[in-house]
Amino acid sequence: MKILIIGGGEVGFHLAKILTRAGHRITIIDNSPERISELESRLDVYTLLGNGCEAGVLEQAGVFSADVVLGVTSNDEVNLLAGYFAKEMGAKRIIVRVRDISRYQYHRSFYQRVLRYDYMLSPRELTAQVIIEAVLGHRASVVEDFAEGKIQLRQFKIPARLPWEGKTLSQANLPKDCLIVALIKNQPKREIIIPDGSTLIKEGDEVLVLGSPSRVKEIEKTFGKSIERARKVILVGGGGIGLTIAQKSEATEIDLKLIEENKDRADELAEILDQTQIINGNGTDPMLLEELGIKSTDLFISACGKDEKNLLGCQLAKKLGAKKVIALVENPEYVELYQSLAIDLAVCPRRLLAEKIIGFINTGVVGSIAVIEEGKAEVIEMKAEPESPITRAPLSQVGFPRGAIIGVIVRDGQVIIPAGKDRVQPGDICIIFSFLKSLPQVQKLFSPPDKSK
Amino acid sequence: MNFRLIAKTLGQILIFISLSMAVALPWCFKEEPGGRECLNAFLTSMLVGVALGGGLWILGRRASRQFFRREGLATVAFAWILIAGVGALPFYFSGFFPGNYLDCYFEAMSGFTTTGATVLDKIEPIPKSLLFWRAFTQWLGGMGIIVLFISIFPALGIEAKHLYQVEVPGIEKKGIMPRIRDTASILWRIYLCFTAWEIFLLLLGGASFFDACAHTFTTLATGGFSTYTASISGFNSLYIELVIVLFMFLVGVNFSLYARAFQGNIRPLVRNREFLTYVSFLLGAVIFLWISLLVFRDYSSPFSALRNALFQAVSIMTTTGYATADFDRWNDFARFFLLGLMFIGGCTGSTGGSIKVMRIMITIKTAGMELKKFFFPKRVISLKLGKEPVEKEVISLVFGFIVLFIGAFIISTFALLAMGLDPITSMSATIACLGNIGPGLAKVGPATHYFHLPYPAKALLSFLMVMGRLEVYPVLLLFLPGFWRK
Repeated sequence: MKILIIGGGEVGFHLAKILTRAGHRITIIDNSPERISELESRLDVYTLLGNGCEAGVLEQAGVFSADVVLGVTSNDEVNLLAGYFAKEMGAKRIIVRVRDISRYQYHRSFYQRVLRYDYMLSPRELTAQVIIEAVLGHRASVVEDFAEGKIQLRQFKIPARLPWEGKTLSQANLPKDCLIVALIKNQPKREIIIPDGSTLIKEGDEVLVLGSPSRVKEIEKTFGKSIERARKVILVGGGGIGLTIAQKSEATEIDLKLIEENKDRADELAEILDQTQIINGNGTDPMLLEELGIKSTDLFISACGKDEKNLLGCQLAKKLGAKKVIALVENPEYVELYQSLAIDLAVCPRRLLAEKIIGFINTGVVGSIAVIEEGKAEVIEMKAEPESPITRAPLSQVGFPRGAIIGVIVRDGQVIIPAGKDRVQPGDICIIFSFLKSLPQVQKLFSPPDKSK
Repeated sequence: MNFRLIAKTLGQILIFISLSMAVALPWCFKEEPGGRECLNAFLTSMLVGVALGGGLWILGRRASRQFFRREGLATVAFAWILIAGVGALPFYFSGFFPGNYLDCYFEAMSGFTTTGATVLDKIEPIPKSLLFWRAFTQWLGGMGIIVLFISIFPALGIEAKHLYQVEVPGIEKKGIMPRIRDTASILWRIYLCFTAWEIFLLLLGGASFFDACAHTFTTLATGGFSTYTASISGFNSLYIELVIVLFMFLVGVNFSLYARAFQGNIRPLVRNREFLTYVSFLLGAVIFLWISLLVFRDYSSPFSALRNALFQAVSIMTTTGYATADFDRWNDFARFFLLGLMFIGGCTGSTGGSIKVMRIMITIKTAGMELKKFFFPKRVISLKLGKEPVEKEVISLVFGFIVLFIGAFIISTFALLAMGLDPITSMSATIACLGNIGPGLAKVGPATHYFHLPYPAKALLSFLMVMGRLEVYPVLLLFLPGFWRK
């Protein structure tokens, strides 16, 4: 695939490194000569010095034949504008990175329509999402939102002494509007299957459930009291990521203490946030941490801008008795190193962004995706294009591959759990669970007929 | 230094070269004396080459993936030294070559580096299969063995880029495609196109299939090995001379300009400053040579003077080294004019050797710039080629190269003098090998050969050839203690 990366910073570099290994043809545009020579000497890519917003530069980079254009400079406006130009000049798919996605959230469809990008990502948002999931401590090890949050995917482990235990799926009394799309068997060996009504559920199995968030929550309740929640959380650093985490946790029952060093910023945070306790102080001060009850803290998160401080803070917190520590890492190369330094979870915004983009490029799916079991299967969001094969007949007759299942159809904001007699209509968004080998077939079903033939 | 990975890559390259000897096998079955011996020689050489390569591969089988510029430099330099060693084996085993293994090594190195200097007195008695392999080594070396290796072996990533940058001659070492593998394969495809085209044109001129192939291989590589002792004059055909002049001229141009032209953009080619300078150098050289040949009455008819001036000027300046006349017997001006042309060479990114037009342009322009600054020191001038400014680092790299190149020329000339050779032979043999041209003047002139030189001289000249082909730096680095230190 021909991929054009605008911005050769750490994200661009990391992306290019992984993508070249996968055999893609990469061109990188950057406006710093030093950076260009650095990239040139370390990657097998074509580099171009210039501004990604200039049509001439884009043309020179061969944007008209690019399959994917990634706007990943540190400047939102550059990314959006370059993405827009690229699309106008004939690039197939555009992914843009923005600093703070909430700025675009309320007019999301407006921006997307006008600026013509396919996918907008924010490392801050992704990081906050990962951390908040750890904070909420869902038993589900995978939580993904689809169709703008209308649909949630969760992975649960079937505990012992459950009403479902030993029953087939049709006997188990599942709530409506949700579906078990896949079952991961742990006995005798780990394998994923697409279940039907007669599939038996056993203790220790894992299920992937797709449905509206409220229904999925109901199921979560069925699985019982054993849900552990990290109730007491200390968060160091009230920057963009810290603030997003705090905002996301406001609606939950978490007791969050946010430590911010800068007095003015702390005041600002106090104005924005209601539930969170804001403390003006130093996150690596042992006295302060003890005073805040670090011993009984379930989770200590260090999310300030400096790697050294995060690392130091986390190790200190661990020593002082925090149960679990999470550190933010700026440099993608350090993630593995942190795991050997007794950090429970190292979260790297740039790496998360790169992983997300790569998932997107590899599958060619518009919409978010979840990778199941290290890539053996995927949950994808597909939009049915007009005249695509899938819209031509009821589901049971369109030749849907065996290795895939449509979990949910979202039509005009309504959630539908489809049956064989249902028909997909153009414009419907379908959430599909698919094994890797069936993905191309699924994509074919959803794409418009190839006019060139 | 990641020795294991270097060993592994070298092993792969050696196996690759050994297997490529198979192209010469069909010629062993020709009805001529020596066919059997040659078949045996080739099979033995392939066996030895594969065993050597396999050994190196096994030595490096558990290599880590760490590969930087330093490893790239070492790999390419060693690769060229070893390839010539393996490529010399068929010559050695066949028993048709004079002298010992060093003579065969000299011949093979002269082949791969596209020099074209030979130890053979009479070429016609040598069996066709050996001559074919001899021409084929030039063809491989012309566009670059490593470049071919990269385009064929997909497993290399950034390693490929480091290797490519070391082998490709010139200043602008950036690829023309996103992946270096694609760049390499485009270059080779253009090369193959030229190959098919020239073979066709030569066949049209009445050359035998064998001669057409062998001469195409050595023209396109700007090599200069012929299958005749009399070189191209053996054909005695104006048409063939013109075809060969055309192709010598074409391959002296930067190949990335062809790549652009193939993609449908001819403008970079016709507007390229280096290309235009190259053309004007050639035209100037032909005219000067023509006039001098007429003035000093080397030829009586203006036409035959022009014909010989054209062929010799193009052949020497593009560093090919074919001859249609014994230019060593021309007037002294013409002789030394050709010696001067040997220092120029083709464009950067071409198959030609020597200093190259771009470097000469930068040097002359810098000198001119300093001259202007000398009487008005406050003046600020930026060095430009056409409208493109040339970066300061590039200028200092060019000067470094020229100093090393001329330094190597001077030292080697003295070394040859010390071995008892005459001054003109010493000077011309040095530049003919360092610039990958082939024939020189006096005792190494176009009518004679290198066999009679003492062995130390042949060893030194072999070394100069690889130094010239890889543009000095990579080979010299091998002698720098700091390069090996961890």
